[in-house]
This record gives sequence, C-alpha cells and structure tokens, in this order.
Amino acid sequence: MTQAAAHPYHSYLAPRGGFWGVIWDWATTIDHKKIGVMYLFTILFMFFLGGLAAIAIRLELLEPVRVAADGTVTGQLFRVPGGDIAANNELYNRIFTLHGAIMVFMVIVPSIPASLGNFCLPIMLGAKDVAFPRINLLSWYIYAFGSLFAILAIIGGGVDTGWTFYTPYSTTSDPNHWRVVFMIMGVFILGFSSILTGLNFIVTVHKLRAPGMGWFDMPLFIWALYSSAIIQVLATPVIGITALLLTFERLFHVGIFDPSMGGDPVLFQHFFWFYSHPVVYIMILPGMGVITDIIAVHAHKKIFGYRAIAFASLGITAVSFLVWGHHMFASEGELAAAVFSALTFLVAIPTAVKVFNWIATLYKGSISIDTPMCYALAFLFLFSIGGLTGLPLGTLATDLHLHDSYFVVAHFHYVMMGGTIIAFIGGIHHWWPKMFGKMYNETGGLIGCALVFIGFNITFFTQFILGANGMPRRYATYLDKFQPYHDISTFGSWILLAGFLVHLAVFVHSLIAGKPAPRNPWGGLTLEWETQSPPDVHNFDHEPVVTHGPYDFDTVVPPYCDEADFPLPPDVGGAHH
Amino acid sequence: MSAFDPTDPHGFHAHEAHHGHHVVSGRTLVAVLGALVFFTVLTVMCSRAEIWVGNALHIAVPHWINVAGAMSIAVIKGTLVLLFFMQLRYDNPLNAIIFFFCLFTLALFLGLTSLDVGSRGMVFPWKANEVIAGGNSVGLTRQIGGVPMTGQVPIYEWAKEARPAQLGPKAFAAELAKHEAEHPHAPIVSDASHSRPRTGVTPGLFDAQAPEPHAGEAPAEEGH
Amino acid sequence: MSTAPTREPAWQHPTHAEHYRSHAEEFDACKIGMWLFLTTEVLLFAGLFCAYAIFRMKYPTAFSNGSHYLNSNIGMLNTIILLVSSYTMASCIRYAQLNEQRKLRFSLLFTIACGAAFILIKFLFEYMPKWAQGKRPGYLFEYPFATDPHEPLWWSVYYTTTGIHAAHVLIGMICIFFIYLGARRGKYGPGHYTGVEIVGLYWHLVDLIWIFLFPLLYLIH
Repeated sequence: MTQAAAHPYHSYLAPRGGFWGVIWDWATTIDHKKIGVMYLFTILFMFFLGGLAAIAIRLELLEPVRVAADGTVTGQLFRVPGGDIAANNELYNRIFTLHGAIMVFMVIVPSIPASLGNFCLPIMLGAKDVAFPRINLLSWYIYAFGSLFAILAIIGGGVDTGWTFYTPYSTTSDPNHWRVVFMIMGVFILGFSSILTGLNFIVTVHKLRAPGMGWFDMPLFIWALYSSAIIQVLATPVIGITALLLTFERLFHVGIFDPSMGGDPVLFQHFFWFYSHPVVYIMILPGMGVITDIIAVHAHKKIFGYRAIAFASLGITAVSFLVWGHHMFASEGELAAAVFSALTFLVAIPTAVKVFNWIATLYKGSISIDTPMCYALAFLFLFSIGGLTGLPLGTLATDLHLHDSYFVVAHFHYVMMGGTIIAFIGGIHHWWPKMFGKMYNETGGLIGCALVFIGFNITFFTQFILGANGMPRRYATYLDKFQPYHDISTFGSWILLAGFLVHLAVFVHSLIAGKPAPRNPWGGLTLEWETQSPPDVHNFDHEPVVTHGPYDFDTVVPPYCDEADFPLPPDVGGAHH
Repeated sequence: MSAFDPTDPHGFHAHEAHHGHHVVSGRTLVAVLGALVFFTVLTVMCSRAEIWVGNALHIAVPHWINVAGAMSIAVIKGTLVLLFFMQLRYDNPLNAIIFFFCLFTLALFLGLTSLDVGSRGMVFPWKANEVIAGGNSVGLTRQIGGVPMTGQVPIYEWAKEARPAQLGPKAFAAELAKHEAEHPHAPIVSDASHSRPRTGVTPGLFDAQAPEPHAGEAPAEEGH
Repeated sequence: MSTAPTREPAWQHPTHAEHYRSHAEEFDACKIGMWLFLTTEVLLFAGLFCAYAIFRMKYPTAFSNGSHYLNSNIGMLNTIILLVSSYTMASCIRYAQLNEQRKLRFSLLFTIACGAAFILIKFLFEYMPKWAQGKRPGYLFEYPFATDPHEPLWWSVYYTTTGIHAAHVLIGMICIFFIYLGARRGKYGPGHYTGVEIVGLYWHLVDLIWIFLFPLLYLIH
C-alpha cells in the first residue's frame, strides 16, 4: 500500500466558516461521516428520551395501586390532574407506549446502521462515500421529520395503545384520533428513512468495493450491515402499508380491521408483525457485526469461521421472514401457530453458529480488557440469555402461559437492549477514536460498562421471575406479592441509568479534553484503521488496494502500530518481521 | 493477478464488446405492446366468455378456471413488461434476482397469512370432542387380539375390557393373580408398626356433617 | 467549453459523482438502487393484495357482486392506456440512446398525457359516479341495493387499492415531468440517460401493478 501525501489533510470535523457557516455545512452535508455523526447524536438524544420514559415506568411500578378502606389511593406516582385510578392508569399506558415507540422506531432500528454503519461502511470498503450520498442526507431529514411527527403526537397527549397499535383498540379508542394518526404517520415516515439507508448500503456493497476486495475479503460488519439492509428493504414497506391502512381505518372507517364491517383485527397483527419481526433482526444483525469486529480486533485473533458467520447473517435474514406468527400465538389459528412455532426454532441455528464462532475466536486470543471488549463479553452473556429465553416463547405450549407477561418483556430487553444497545455502546467506544480523533477515558468506560451490566441484569433478570410467576405486562398495578421483585427491578434501573450517565460524562470529557487518538489505537486490520483519526474529508487520498484479509492477525502486523505492541505469533510468519 | 481496469475493477463490463448498453429495437417494443394489448383483450374476452358459457349451457363453471385463466394471462403480461420494457432480459442479472426476492417475500406474506386466516374455523378432529380425562381415543385404532376400539372411551377403560376378552378367563385370572402378588393392596387398617392413611377422603370434608360415632364402634370405612 | 452561440448538449459531457470510478458504474448503481426501491413499492402493494386475497376468501359473494359493479370496458381502456404509456416510456430510453431528442420529448409528454387520461377516466367515470350512487368504503357506504352485507368491505378494498395506485400514477407523472424539463435542456442523450431509465422503471412498475390489479378487481367474479 503506497503512502502519498499529495493531498493535505482536512479532517471532516474541521469547521468551515463561522457559526452559521458550520450550521449550513452540517445541514447540507453529503459526507457519510457527518451524516453518521448527526444520526449518532439524534439517536442518543432519542435514547435518553425513551430512557426517561423507562425510568418513569419503573418509578410508577415501585408500588402497586392500593385503595385504603377510606378510599384514599396510594401507589400512583403519575397522576392526571383531577383524574381517577383509571385515568392515571391510562397515563401509565401512554408512558410505556412512548417508551416502546421511541425505542423501537427512533432508537434501535436506526442505531447501528445509520450511525456506525454510515460512518464505517464506505471507509471499510475503501470507498469515498456511499452509493447515493444525497439520499443518505435525505434519509436523515426523513428521520428527523418522522421523529417530529411522533413527538407532536406525544405533546398532544400521547397514545395509549402500546407500540404495537393493535386493532381494534387503536382504531376505536381515543376521541382525539389525531394522536394515533400522527404517531402512526411518524412510523410511516421513519420507515422511508430505514428503506433509503438499506438501499444505499446494498448498492454500496455491490458497486463500490476497493480493488482486491472480494465478497469474502470484506469485514464481517459489512456482511451484517448488508444482511440487515436486505431486511430493511424487503420488510419496511409492509409497515408502511400497515400504517396507511390504520390511518384510513381511523379517519374514514373503511372497515378492513373492523369485525362489525366484516374486517379482521388479527389481519392487522399479521401486517404489523410481518415487518416487526424482521425488524428485530434489523436491530440485532448490525449489533452482531459490531461484536464480530470488536472480538477479532480486541482479542487480536483471526475470526473463527469467517464464511460461517457471513452465511449465518444471510441465513438469519432468510429465516427472519418466516416466523412472524410467533407473536400471535394467542390470537391466530392453531394450524398457523403450529407452523410458525416449528419455523421459529430454525432461527436458533445460524444464531448459535455465530455465538460459537465468537467464543472460538476468543479462545487463545490475546484479549485486551478494554471497554469495547467488555461490552462484547457482556453481549455474549446477555444476548445468549435473551436468545435462550426465546425458546419457551417460541414453543407454542409454554408461550400460551408466558404471552403478554413480564417474561416477554425481559426476553426482548435482553436481546434488544442486552444485544443491540450493548453492541452499540461497545461499537461507539471501539470507533470513537476514529470518529472524533480523541481517546476516551478507559477507566471511566470500564466503570460505565460495569454499572450498565450490573444494573441491566438486576433490572431485567427479576422480570423473568416476575413473568414466570404471572405478572402481566403493560399493567400499571399488580398483586402485592410482586412488589419485592418490582422494587429490585426499579433499583436496578437506577444503576443502569448511572452507567449511562457515566458514559455520557466520559464522552463529553473526551470531546473536550481527550487525548488525541492515533490512527490505529486497537491494532485493527480493516481499512478504517488506515485513515487518519478523524478521517480526511475524502476518506482516503487515493483508492486503497486490499492485499490482506480483514482479520489476518496471524500474518500481518497492523498498520500504523508499533510492531512491539502487536508481534506476530512466533510460529506463524513472525520471523519475516 | 492480471492487471485490472481501474474503471472496472470487478470486470462487470469486461465482456461488453461495444461501448454502452443494449438498445432495444423499435420493432421489439411495438411487438411487445401488441402482445400486451392482445392479452388484455383476451383476458377480458375470456372472463366474459366464462359467464356466457355458464349462462348459455346452464353449467357452473368452476371458479378456479376464472382465477387461473385471469392470473396466468396477467403473469404473462407482467413478464413481458419486466423482460422487455424494464429490460431485465438485457440487464445485469442482479436486478432480476432482486425482483425475484421481492416476489418471494410477497408470496411468503400472502401464503402464511392466508394459512392462518383460511384455517381459523378449522378444528382438529382430535380436539373436536368432549374433553374426557384420559382422552377419548379419537383417531386411535387399536386392535389387540382382534378386539377393536368401541365407542369413545379413554384407552385405559378400553384396556380393562379388551385384555380379559383377548386372553380368555383362565389366562386372565393368572395375570390377575400375578398382578395382585406384585401389587398387593395395602392393608386398610393400621397395625402396630404401619399406619395407613384413609385414602380417597378429602380431609375434613364431612367433619361438620358426620354423625357422632356410636360409642365403641369404629368409624365407617369407605372403599379401598 | 465552446464559446459559440449554440452550446453542446449536456449529455455529451456527462459527469459522474466523484466517488464513482466511471459514469457506467454510476449508471449501474442507480439502476440497482431503483430496482431495490421498486421492490419496496411492490411490497407496499403486497399488503393490499393480501387484504384483497383474505377478504375474497372470506366473502366470495360480496366480492363477486363487487366486481360486477365495475365496468370492465373502462378497466380495459385504462389498462390499454397504461400499456401504451409503458411503450412510449420504453421508447423514450431508445430515443435517448439514439439521440432522437424531439421524439424523446414528445414521448415523455405523451406518457404524462396517458397517465393523466388514466386518472381522469378513473375519476370521472368510475370514482365519481360510484361515489354519487353511495358505493363508498366502510362507514360511508350508502348504496341501497346491495345484496351482501360485506359489500362495503369490497368498496374499501377497491378504493384503497386503486386509490394508492392512482397516487403512484400521479407521482410517476410528476417525476416524468421533471425528466421532460431536463430533456428540454439537452440533458439526456446517448452518453447519459440515467434519469430517463430510472423514472422509466418506476413508470413500468406502476403499469405492472395495474396489470395485476385489473383482473383481480374487474375480471374475477
């Protein structure tokens, strides 16, 4: 690889012009790195909004609602002015709907692909930008616009249907039907953002790889983003039509989901879950990709079973479209339920392939315990629990008892938060030096990781116990016997919040006073570690030519690194260097 | 490795002898349009013909002919548009693969949703009867020694009748003796070294109603 | 750049975005991107086709009655109009490739005109008379001579499906109009006709969807 210093280095973060010049520059940028950073900050902001709602939920659940003999009501923390128990419970419904809708549609779905993916994908491929940079910017504006719709709905009082908007409640409740319409239209608009991002990634991977980079020379993060993009393109339109039909049903009462007109409310569930199941794989696949890269780099070892992981990503994509009915075991017909249950077990196969490959990669690796690696280890533990607890939910017989209980809540928090968010935070730490040119405080990062891990487990493991013992989900109050568990869970949520605040402090400190980052702080072999930290506006000064695989730690010394820090194993090519 | 063309590193255009893309001839386009219009008129005529045939000959034309005919003509028309107007025939096969995946996903969606909605009213025959403890032996065909299942009884009841009939009285008596030797009934009265609970009695169920035992008599015993 | 009074048309010096290695690569990438977008459009209609199939399965009589209310002559006319517009759109690509600029502009306008005719016929001869007769979706239904209780559901399916399709026809017409404006400036020719190709694909998809909608709604009884 030649080193030409023909072009002077301009960091993509370097401000151009005065204050308004910088605003205009960022508002009209088509640079994928800036768009990735904009997504990152917007997503983290929405994450904190949704997180506040979560803290509110857990505060409300500290005490069950009790009515004393003289009629005084205790245990309702959030109260509607002048409202009775039912009105306050409805307020609780609005809070958890807010939490769910924001977290699913505005945080987790775009989290890794739109922020880390946008930043890393072109650089990892050796390209100057994604295939359609202006559409990339458009997708961010659509994201912002859609989020605005949702926020308007929330300001208007919020929606109490749950993030799943099940009919007939979502089509008939609430005299102010504009709130539901605004929220679901927000979802519709956000869907376009997701589609455009996925479309961009697929075309970029097909057309803009560097010379010498075949399909099996790409980092596995790209494979994960590619597989996730396929799902984004194929599944998201269905939530689009679902949102449209729900709007028509709400505004014009067309009757498609109304049994009194001959419609079918469960049809809504089919439409909804045909997207919303693949969407959870849109959420987790990029997370798995991040973990693959983190483990390989921070264990400084060649990934075990590259092709297996690549094809497992595609396998998960394929199976993800076959299993949506497992969300509807309690409402669909028996034959369909049996079929979907059988199909659901298939998804465990490619997932397990990946988990075993990660563990095998760690074996005999030179593991450095830094924040990204801690998050990767946390991912392995938490995602495995989440995945394994999916089994009693996928088994038809047991699911009928666990459906709509806290077991489900704990399961999806383990996979979505313990999976994707953990991977997201790990990925942010992993690529933070590259993105912002500053190192973060490692001790602070480790403390944050420990707090997040401990807090997460306390919060959500108790919820498995709650659910198995019969606590239903989406209930503002509960039997007295559940109170100890709820209190433990709430306490855990405070530890979790503390962890996130520690991370926020670490990031702010890093931006203000962090040490300048070298090009390759972790000793990675993929192309992004060959650019400057932060990268030049054009990523590379000339098109890189790939001469080694992305995880060839056994034969290649990482570039821009001290060889003494990353010696090759003595029995493999060490003598050459 | 052979030198690669920097403007085409993956060799997509290496086999293109001419510069540029395929130009579909005007005649091809007109021919395709003609075929499309023909098929449109054909499908309308077919659907009207089916109605006419049904009325004139007083037969009920099976519904599937109507559906299959209209859909197959639609598929032909669609294929013509895809291949020639949208130029999938002359294009990078990746585009055709993308569209194929799209159709496959559509088929999955329609298929599995229809599977559910179409089978909602269905009740499995083995669930269709009254629930009896031990099962009602629906769908169970057992013949031991020529004794078939009779009626809807739990299988263990059936075995009580089938086994003696099959073995004959002497053999069954031997089996009964063997059974009693292996599984002696526990004595129902307590002795000095074994206390026997009175089984089959809900504790305290009749305490309020039981008559005072006469002095000196043991309490009445229920069954064994 | 020449200083003569007549400028060379823009297509003779096509540029491409700097992150592509060549114009041909950008063209291929744009096509793949458009096919992916068409995929999303088809899957959007997939929901409507699914609703149609489900309700036809459940209420065959209502849907059979419903299709009899539709005039298949008008439907056939609309189908042929869209097919012709598809032909002219495909010809636009040909004319751009052969540098027949006047035919290109005419065909673009003709395609828009066909789209407008489609929408006008649908509106004037289908939607408005039916709406006036009370054949309306869901709770808006007022037609007194319906024989099956689920006919309002048929009209819901009919209006949502054809309405969303008509919206796509409208969007397609607007996109083609922008291409027409570009063609007037000499933007498209043998060296560069990406825009014509991309919008053409969208228009063909609109036609393709109608090819399936027409028999499903009008001809299956």
